[in-house]
Amino acid sequence: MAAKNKIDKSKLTKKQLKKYKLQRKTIILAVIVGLLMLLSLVAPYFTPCDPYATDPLNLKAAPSAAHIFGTDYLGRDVFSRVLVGARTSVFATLLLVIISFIIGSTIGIICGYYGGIVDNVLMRITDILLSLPQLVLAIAIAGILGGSLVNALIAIGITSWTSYARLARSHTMRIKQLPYIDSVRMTGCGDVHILLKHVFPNLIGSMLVNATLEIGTTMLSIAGLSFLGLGVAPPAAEWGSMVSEGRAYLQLAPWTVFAPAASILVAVMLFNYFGECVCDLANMNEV
Amino acid sequence: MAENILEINNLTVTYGQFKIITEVSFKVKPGEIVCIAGESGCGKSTLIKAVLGLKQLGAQVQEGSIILDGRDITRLGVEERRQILGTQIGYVPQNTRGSFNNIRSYEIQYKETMNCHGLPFVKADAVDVFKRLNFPDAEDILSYQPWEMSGGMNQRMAIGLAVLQKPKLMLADEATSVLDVTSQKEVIEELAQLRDELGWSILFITHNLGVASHIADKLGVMYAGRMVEYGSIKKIINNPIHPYTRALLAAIPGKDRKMPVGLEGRPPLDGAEWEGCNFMPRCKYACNECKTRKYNLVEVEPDHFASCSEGMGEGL
Amino acid sequence: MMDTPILEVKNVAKSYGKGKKEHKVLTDLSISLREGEVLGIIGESGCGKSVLLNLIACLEPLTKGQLFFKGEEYTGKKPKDVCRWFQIIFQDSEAAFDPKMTIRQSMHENLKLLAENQDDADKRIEAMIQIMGLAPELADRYPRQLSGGQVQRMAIARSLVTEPNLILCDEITSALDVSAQATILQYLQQLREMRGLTMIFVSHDMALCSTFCDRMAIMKDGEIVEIGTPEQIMDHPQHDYTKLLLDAVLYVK
Repeated sequence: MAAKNKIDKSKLTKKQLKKYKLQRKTIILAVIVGLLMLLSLVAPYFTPCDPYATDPLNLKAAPSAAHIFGTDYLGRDVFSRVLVGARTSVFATLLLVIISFIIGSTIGIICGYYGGIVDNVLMRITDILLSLPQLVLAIAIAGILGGSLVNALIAIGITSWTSYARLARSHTMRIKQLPYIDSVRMTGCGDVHILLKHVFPNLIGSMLVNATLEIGTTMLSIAGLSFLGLGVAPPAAEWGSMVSEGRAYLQLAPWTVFAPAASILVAVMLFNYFGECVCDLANMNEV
Repeated sequence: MAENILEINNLTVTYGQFKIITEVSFKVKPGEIVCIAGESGCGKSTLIKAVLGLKQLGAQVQEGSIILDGRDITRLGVEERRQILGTQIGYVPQNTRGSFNNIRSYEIQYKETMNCHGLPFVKADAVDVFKRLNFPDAEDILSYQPWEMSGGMNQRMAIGLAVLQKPKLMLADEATSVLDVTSQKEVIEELAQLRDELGWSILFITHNLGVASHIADKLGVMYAGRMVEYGSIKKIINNPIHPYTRALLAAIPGKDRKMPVGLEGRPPLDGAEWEGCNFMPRCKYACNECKTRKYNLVEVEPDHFASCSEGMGEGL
Repeated sequence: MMDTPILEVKNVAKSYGKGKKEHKVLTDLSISLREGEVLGIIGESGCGKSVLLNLIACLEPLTKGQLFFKGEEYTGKKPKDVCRWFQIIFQDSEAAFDPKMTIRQSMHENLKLLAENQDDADKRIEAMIQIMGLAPELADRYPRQLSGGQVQRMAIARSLVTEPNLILCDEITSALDVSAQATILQYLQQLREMRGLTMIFVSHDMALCSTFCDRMAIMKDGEIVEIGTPEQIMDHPQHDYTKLLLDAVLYVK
């Protein structure tokens, strides 16, 4: 069986070879990203130390065998906190991306398909939201609502659906002019059926590409808000807030900043790289 | 000037791993319009790609040679190739909308193209060409932008641009098949006029023998990468020999208002590499001999060659 | 009831935009069609012939005028009200099938309201595909996996599975090779003989229409300038535009 599935590389054209390599890369990245998510899901149960237990004897201890990322200004184990924070950071990001994906594409498809007044009103709202700097607006909203993870998500979510809505709208406007939509209308099917069965499946590809590319940015926004103290409330661990807490002791205990910052860096880079590969692959399939 | 503007000798072309053209030979003399006809998938567009020879087009010449005005251009380098395209070989594409940038005036695009080929752009010359080709609004047309024009007019502007560069050979790939009937006729007449007045040589690709019969001097019918019938157009139209040529002719609605007769199936897409006759699966005169019959283009009368004469005399 | 035309289009007008930007596509157009008749509508791109078909099928609202089906007015109805009567076949048939669905899945949608169950629908679809001279297995392919002629025949089969009263053909052969075009025409002719199909056949090819239609209408700038039998139109054209079009037909010389 294995021999049958093996692809003879010498027989492929250059383009096919390129595609094959890209596919392999994307699959490997998808596995890594999947592992990261799995890890962030189960890691809090396998932390070496209690992430919330303070240890007055071990304040700002340098990395050692007992605490591989050292301890912070309250003597808490940084490694354990990074692991616990992973769940907040990664899952809050994914949750937000999924919710804004659903809301944004629903609004976009409806606007694009029906046009008229609904479209005008909703698109002007997105225009207004897009004309404000995203993070500043999020800070303002999070400031009004008060610092908590849910409020931070709401603050970012208020603007993040707009990019999906715009994309979905423009695709829908293109698709609804194609003859097959007219053909389906001539079968007597209703609008809901057309939107769900014929419009949505034909734009979901590029929407997903956009979503994977957005994961990195969203993660940074959440970390940014937490860094400003508008995200999770202490003592809960989140990578952004950990950087913020450690910042005061940067010279005395740099590891309290480096560990969560490096985690953010790695996670964002992974998601961005994954998004880019998916994007390339999607473009290649279209040609 | 050499005896032939274009000479294709025993040309075999592959596209990816498929052999699309097999051992095709023909000549284009000065002042002659040669039509290559066949259905989509018979290899006629690949032939144009091979003559243009651009690597990006994907057609790979495996054997044989292409000789343009006495010079072998089969395996030219990129730079040399660039020099002969435009100035020696003109090209009118099928896509009427895609050949010009929609939002820049014709004048800028004309100038750019001419300068690219190291030719001066003189507006008066262009206007002169337009007048000779009976363009409406010949004086001002250069200042228009392509989106303001119909597909037919755009196609004529593409021909105008090709004319300005005075190539030795013009290639037209289905240049009329997406046009309305009246614009189609205009374009056809224009090409015929170029031949009559300027002694141009044109290689014209089409699937419609009706169009071909109006402008061509010579006709080549291709099927599955082989030339199945070749010769003077009058002789072929009046006395078609190969079953495929007859099928193509029968498919054109005639003046007698009889229902045209179609041909089932499609040409083999991978260029067909089997023993015997390629057309056999679709041929209504196919017999046992056809399974092993080797391809052989024979002269049936002066200036008329065909590779098969099965079923002659049975009518259509 | 033989006298009632199956379709009557009365003084129909259609324009896009309002006020100064108003762009008239159809101006005061009337046609009527008997049962079993094939009407060819000939015109060049931009003359409004595709818009006319869309109006008849209620895919777009009219600006003015009335539509009658068997003497009953249906102006302003929705596509789902008229889909039992009319079906459209488009020029670009590959784009007329959802690229993410197999041909069979697309055809099932047509039968959703009519067929009793899945098997019944499958049976009807396969029977229709066989009438169009294609193998039923081809139904499980995606539209891009078929040749242009094959997809177009699938599109015809699709429009016929619901057994509509009138088929509207929008340039259905102009993207095809002449041989595929002739094949399609032969199948349509066969269907006419079998089921007495009524059709409006929009095309820019006069020669083609003259072989196949009972009557031909010449359309220019949103109006019908001449209408008559193929003999009248082809042999004794009256209007200048008809003569111009006739002159442009390239017969085999």
